[in-house]
Amino acid sequence: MKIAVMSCIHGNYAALDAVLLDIDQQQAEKIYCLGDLVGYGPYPNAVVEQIRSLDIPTVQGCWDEDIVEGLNACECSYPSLLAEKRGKIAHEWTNKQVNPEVREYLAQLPHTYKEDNLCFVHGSPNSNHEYLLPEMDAFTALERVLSSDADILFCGHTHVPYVRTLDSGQLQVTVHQPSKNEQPTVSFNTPLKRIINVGSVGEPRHGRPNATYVIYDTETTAVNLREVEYDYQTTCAAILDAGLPPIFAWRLARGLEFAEKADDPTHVCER
Amino acid sequence: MIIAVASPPGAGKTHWIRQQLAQADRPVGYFSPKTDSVPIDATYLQSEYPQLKLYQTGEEAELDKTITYLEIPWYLDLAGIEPLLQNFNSHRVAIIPGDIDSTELETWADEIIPGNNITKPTKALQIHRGVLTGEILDFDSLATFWLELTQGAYGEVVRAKGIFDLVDGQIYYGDFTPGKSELEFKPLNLPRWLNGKPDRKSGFEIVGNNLDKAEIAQTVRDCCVSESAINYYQQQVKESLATELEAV
Repeated sequence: MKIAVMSCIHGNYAALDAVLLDIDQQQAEKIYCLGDLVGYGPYPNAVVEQIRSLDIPTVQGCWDEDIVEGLNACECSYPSLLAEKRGKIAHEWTNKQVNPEVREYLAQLPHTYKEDNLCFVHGSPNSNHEYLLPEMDAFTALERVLSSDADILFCGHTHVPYVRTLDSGQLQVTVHQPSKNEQPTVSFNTPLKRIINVGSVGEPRHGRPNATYVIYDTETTAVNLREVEYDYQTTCAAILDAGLPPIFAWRLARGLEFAEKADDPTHVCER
Repeated sequence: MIIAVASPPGAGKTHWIRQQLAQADRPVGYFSPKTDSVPIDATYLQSEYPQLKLYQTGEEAELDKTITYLEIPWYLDLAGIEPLLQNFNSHRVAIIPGDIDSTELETWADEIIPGNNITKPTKALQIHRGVLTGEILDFDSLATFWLELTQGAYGEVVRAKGIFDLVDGQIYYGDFTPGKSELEFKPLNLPRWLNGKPDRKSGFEIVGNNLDKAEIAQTVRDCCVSESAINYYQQQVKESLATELEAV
């Protein structure tokens, strides 16, 4: 069965519309969404209403959580002061725009969603703020997949798509106990695991403005990273019309993302 | 002896002077008129050559106490600088890109040096100079701003340079000329400032067209560390440096 997995729409309705059309053309039978429906972009309500109307299984992203629970911009959530200030502007704007039904919908989204051997998260199974970057060390990456109790872990959050295969192998863990001479050792084998980052529909960071998502075949395990052109200028114009910072439009048009960059692959927000 | 150096923006005046300083075997001075508020090139050169004598506005009569490089900003009228040059024994150097029509500079100069190729401006150039008074910036924010600036987010930029105090106590030099230099920041060889707001000059100079000066100023403000956080960061840096010293 072909499934489509998308993430990080960020209120960009034109990008979502183009991706849904492409999914239809690819004849995917089911769609999943990894969160961050809102934030930065000009159409948070319309995006959420579209996802709801299509009954797409969706997990909560960090931006969805912040709109529900209030911005708690711990320093670690942002890579720089500038990103934090821009993020706060976007948060305050979005917070004023979202209607009660949308807020209620975002509040009930789960942090993880599992189906058979597939697990869907926004950031990582640990936190929707954690970045699973492709260069993360293999042991930590494997631990994240194992903790999800799945073979395939779908994630977003970094806005750059990739597929990482963690080959099957043997893990050996020795537990050091200061009071005992013997150090118990545990060995176990892991089957092949994969992390599939589906990129971002509405806020790409791969250097082009095109939306990205993934088509996955559950029978052949083939992964198709899709890149979809859309009329990003429509979204740029809407950003300006909405009174959002013009730099968001400038960055969106260049595939630079609105304000942030992910630069700490091991970071886990402790809030 | 005054060696007066002139060129269009980004053609390589400071770079050429730096090359001369590297070969100097006697006391050398440097003066750049109308740049006292943000002495970017002077700060950069002195960090490379601490023995360099910097002259300030008001000290023009003393310029011949050393061999002095007089860097003439591109926006100054050469005729306006002439009375100063007439007072001294001077040698005039023009740094001229190959594809630039520069009859005025060629007529003025005693010596012509080939300069960097630069983008020909399509309109009259604007200059925007930002003076920072003790502000300390966050490096990642500055890097983001500089990338946006040099890629045209705030207007067409044909030259940008700046010196910025950062939270690690060092002062960083940034330099951008389209087609020549990539994004470049490097810490200058100057003492770290780790006791509150720096009491030294910093800032930036941007040359280009349609510059959104208000947005540039706001973005730089957004890159600045709050006064309440400065002490916290400086304390961390001091502790880190002390640990490094102990390890040595």
